[in-house]
Amino acid sequence: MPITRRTLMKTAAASVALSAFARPTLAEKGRPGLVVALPAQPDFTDPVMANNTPTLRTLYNVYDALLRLDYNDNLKVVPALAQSWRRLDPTTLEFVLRPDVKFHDGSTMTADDVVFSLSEARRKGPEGKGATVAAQYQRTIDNVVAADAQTVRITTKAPDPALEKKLAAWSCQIVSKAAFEKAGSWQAWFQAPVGTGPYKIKENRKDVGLVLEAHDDYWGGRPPFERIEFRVVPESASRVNGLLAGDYDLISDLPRDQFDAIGGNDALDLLGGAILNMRILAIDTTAPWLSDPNIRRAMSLAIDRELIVKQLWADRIAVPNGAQYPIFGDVYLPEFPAVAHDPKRAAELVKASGYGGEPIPYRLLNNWYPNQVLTAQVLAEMWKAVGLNIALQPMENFSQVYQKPIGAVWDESIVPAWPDPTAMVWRQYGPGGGLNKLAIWNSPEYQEIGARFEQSGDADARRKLQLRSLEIIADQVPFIILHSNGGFFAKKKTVAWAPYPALPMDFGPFNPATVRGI
Amino acid sequence: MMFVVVRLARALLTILIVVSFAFVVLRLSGDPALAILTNEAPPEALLAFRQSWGLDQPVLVQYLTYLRTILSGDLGVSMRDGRDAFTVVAERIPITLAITIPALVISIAIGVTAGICAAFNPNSRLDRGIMLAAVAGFTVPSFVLGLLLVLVFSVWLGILPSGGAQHWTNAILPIVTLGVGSAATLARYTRAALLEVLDRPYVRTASAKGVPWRLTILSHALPNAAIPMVTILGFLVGQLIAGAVVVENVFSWPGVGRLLVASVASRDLAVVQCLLFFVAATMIAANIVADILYSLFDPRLRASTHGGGA
Amino acid sequence: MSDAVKQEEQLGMEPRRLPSASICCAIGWLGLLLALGLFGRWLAPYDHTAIDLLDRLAPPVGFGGSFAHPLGTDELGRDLLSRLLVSIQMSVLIACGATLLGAILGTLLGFLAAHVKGAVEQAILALVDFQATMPFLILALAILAFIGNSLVIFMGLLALHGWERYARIARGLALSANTQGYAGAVWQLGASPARIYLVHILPNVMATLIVSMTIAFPEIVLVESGLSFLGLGVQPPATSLGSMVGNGRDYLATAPWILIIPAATISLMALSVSLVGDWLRDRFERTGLR
Repeated sequence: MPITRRTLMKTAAASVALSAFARPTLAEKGRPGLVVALPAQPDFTDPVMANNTPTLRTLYNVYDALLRLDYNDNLKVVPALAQSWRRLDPTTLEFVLRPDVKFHDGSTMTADDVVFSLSEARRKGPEGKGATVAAQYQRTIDNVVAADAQTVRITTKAPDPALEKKLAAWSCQIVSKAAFEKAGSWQAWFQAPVGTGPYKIKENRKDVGLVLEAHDDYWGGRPPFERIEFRVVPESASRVNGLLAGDYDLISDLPRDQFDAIGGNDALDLLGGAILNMRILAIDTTAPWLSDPNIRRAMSLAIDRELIVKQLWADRIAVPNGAQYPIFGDVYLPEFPAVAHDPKRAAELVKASGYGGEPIPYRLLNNWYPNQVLTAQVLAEMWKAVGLNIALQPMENFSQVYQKPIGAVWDESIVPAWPDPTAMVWRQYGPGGGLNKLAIWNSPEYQEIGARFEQSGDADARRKLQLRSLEIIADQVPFIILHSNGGFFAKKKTVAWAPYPALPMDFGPFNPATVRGI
Repeated sequence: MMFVVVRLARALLTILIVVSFAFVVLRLSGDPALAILTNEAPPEALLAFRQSWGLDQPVLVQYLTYLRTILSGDLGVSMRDGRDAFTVVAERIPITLAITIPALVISIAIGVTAGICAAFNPNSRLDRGIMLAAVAGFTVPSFVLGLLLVLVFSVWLGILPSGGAQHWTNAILPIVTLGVGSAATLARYTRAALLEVLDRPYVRTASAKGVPWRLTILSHALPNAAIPMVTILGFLVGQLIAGAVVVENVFSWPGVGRLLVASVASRDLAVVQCLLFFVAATMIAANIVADILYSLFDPRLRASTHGGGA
Repeated sequence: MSDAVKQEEQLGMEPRRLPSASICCAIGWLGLLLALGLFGRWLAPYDHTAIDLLDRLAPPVGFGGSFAHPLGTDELGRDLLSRLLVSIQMSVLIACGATLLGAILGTLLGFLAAHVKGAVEQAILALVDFQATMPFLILALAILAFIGNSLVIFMGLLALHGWERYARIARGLALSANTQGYAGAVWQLGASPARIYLVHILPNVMATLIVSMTIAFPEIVLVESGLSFLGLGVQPPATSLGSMVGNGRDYLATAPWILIIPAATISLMALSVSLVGDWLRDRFERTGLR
């Protein structure tokens, strides 16, 4: 074969070096511009509309909320557009706004803008579409009032100890009231939204990409990049080729089998690892056989997660110990055991259950999640080895997956949308949660514990309740924990940037990696 | 002229079938409300969505309402970005034409020439070489060819961009990738059609009578060979459209093909439907052109009533 | 009398030659594929779904691989030889079935349209127009993505592939054959329509139809791989040549054998089919069926 990997990589490295000479990435003004290839762009340019991966990756750089999560410090809640805040009582929070914060259009942020940004009209979005997303974060808010020009009070319907975290997380970003009203319609607003983030939207073309430009009056410091061009490149092979050809400075969603090639290339860096996003297999526990907890336990025990992590993820991701993350702070239980791998026990459980080889459907989307189809095929073989007959059923979209009766297992991922247990399993399986609506798991005890946890302000009680809910999940296996999802990037060595272990990509001055070399 | 009237009536009928097809496929395939709003949406939002899209009506009512709105020229609003579906599609059409038209022209130039060369020297080395190249060009999937071209011209040689649509040079690799398949198809068809005609008695007679070979070909063989060839014009256009779907995804070219795949993935019904109409309209036009050419090349067809029988 | 005409023509023909070496190779290759299609599943050294994550992306013999996996392994450590054999079976089944069904359906409808004027003809032509207005890949994309993908739907869809082309060609050729004297002569002899179309016109248009079929056959395999590229092809655990190529694209630079082996199989198959198609056409001509 004339094309070996080595010669390919050599030529590739040479051409990257050449093209670096040909096209200087440093703009004249001294700040570099950046071309980032992503598989998708957000459908709408407003955070109330979506909290999916493409939205978080791009719009994180365009908007700020009253508070922000410090990804460099275990997602601690720190001041942002509010310079300080305090709890007046269990249901009221008071924020003192940062003075002289400039919107992208040059106007100054006021308490009015904050009240408007957290209003019902904003939350609902056009035709109620925002209700799906913004409501997850703002569901408990009762009203928002401006006490004076620099002070805002938010009251909740019931005590909500996680409110600060929710406000810092997403969909609660502050936009300019005047600019929104001037736009006249949501459609016009989406064309030119006005926030306070380090970058403003310059151009947005569907299936081409999103161009951001530095907002030099940013309250948080000088944005490190002059211009960021997010380009939509759906094919992973095309993203890799474009990086090797020098067309892109940074690419996301790097497939595992490119790790060696990128890692071995002197001009390129491989970045990333496990992110705060737990991959699970959801189970319809009302279906034949899947209703038997022993079958569900056997399915979980049959999975050799270590092997999957090692071979399909190059050992760069981890398996969380239970349905929790360290970002939960004082309710994180470090001693809680991770899911076990015991194929012998799994086979015994299957045998004892009287299962006779009836096919158990596995509704499978085509790589909605990275490595999804590969992992599913591996799982099917692992289950086969313990006597379970899992039938892969290809699906095209989630509405097909959710078509009732489900009677199957399928892939999901659970993001801790804010750093609290209420943002994770409870957000999905609690009242109003997406998986809750499918009525696939009925556990009165879990519901009762979750409801108590949500309103409890006592740290000790919260820890006990959290332990019990983790135990229920580990014992009843309403879903199977696979591993943390991985997020991998490749970039030119000359680009000063590093990812957080989470979905947002931060190109602003708060990302310490961007400060290098400026 | 009767021919034209019948042809137009059939075109209308075809459009009705396409419209009905779009309705059946798009409406009877799960709940679009769930697909757009996801199952995390509160029930009242789902309900409001279904009402605003008329999804809570009986299917027949939906169908009639649907026909009426389509007839009034309202193609709906993109669920993905809230704009008029027609606008969303229309702004992509020139982008796709920018690669498909050059690809069509190039493939006709290369394909027909190669086919004629091969047919005039049947079973020669040239013929075999051309046919081998045609089969190869035809059997390499366009996404493989596209990725290979990117490896060679972007990654190794570094002379052409790997994807996107920032500059006219971005169009070169997509055009080549698209054109290869059509050129190969055309070369094979041209050769087969010419060989068949060259073997016919009147061509043999003509050459036996001493009519110069070139003249024979120009006056007898080519026009007759063109008959089966024009029947594939429509097919070629279809091949290019289908090819564009794949090629635009390989090269991140923001044309209708990318739009189709993205809209199908997000179940953007209005846009998918609008795209189906656009494709159908293009193909109907191409087929009408093919039919007209067909009747031009074979005048007997217009006057023909087949003998006896019936 | 028609037999006499045929005999006369045959007298003037040169004696039939044996097929050339390349034709023999092509026929041999197709025969092999057919045999593998029939029995390959049982010749496979491994189960085609058997995963060995510790032996991923092993190269083929001759490129650093071992004889345990002569053609190497894929991204999940599955034996590529076994997968190739099972894929050939699937692809041969799909392509043969779809080509034949499409050709038979299309030709019959084409003849019908040529023979019966009026409403039936217009109805058939409207259907032809509809099919011709929807490039197959787009039709398949719409149907598979919205209605769902199962092997049955998939094969049924592919069987529809290209039928309208045969219908157009068959109709066009039948119409011109009817005006070309010989068919007219037979009409006047009072032969039945079925006999005329099948015995007299079909052989005359066979050459063009066969060329169409030899183009359609690999095309179906390709459409199938195009659909795999878009994530709508044959789905795991089933496998086909097209889906192997579609999935192999991500490994083009790092493990090219995953893509090259099935792609080469497709190309050789297409080449053989077209060689055999050309040869068959020549034979028809020589035996006077043309």
